[in-house]
Amino acid sequence: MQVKVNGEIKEVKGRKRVGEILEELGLNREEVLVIKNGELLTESEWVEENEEIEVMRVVSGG
Amino acid sequence: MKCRKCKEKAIIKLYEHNLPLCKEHFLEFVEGRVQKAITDFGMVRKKERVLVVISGGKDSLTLAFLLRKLGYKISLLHIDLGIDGYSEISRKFCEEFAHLYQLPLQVISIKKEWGKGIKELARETYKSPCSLCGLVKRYYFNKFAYENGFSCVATGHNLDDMVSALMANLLGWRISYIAKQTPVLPEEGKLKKRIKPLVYLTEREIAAYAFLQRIPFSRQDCPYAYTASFLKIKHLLNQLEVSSPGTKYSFYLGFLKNKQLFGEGKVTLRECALCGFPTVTEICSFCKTFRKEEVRNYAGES
Repeated sequence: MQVKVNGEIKEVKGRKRVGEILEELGLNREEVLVIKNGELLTESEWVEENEEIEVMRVVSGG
Repeated sequence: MKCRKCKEKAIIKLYEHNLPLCKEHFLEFVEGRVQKAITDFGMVRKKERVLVVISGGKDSLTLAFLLRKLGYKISLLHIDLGIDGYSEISRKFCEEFAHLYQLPLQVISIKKEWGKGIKELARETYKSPCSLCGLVKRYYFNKFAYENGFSCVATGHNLDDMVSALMANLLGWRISYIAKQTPVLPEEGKLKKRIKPLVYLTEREIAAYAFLQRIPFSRQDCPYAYTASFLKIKHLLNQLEVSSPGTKYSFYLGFLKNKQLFGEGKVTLRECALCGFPTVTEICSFCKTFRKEEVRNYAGES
């Protein structure tokens, strides 16, 4: 599957739950939102191999 | 995962409350948290005029959206910091937001006021861009609120901002700063009341709300954000939050319960000899930084 993280595309293999994808990419669930087809996904949701998701970082600094 | 309230499909799980919610109940939850903060801390009444300081980012725009939705009388203020390649975009989002929701917006441009942006001014005044930015924003939003008859200034500080500032100040044992990490800083003379209605919400909750309400906000990071130590502390606290959900919330509530341990955070304020706005010293930091010649003349006279 393709995972867009802040505009950068990352490839993740296989069918996985959102929580597993975040873990694989080293992302903290408290610091992101995961979006598929314009909808928010919870960490327990499955993402199929042929699907695309977007990870939006939510932490602002300064 | 199903919504705890209606058993519809959940779109988010709030781990600190062990609460999965659908879109409708999540929006209701966020609005309830803001109203609860306003009520719990006696922030503002609906007949008062509130100045909301907006940056173009998710927190301040969501705050303005929520206060408007909850029926508060708000006006917007944006401070254009004059950071090339960044401030233009921030300002555009603020102007679009004001237009979209039919809210009055005033913009103070640092370049217009001082002939140059924050980066150049920081270099000239030997300050870090972050500390200068904070000084400039605090000075201008207070001055604007005072001169235009607002009862208070609302900022988009959220739970993550509060706990990271609290932790940073605890690590450095800056007692007077620790005492100031409260959701309301009361009015004192020309210093207007400051309120933080998003104090019960995390950044993730605010971002999710903004996303679901389709609030257009700037996703760009300030080019100087990497220098902010708060950001590193935010990451550490979020790691703790994952292993022990509710850590941030209980840390902050615990502080509010025990804040008297750090004193009142009260200092004796007087009016700056040059600009007349409140300060602890004879001349305020803003004048010391930006009105060097006048400061020299004043020192020569007195």
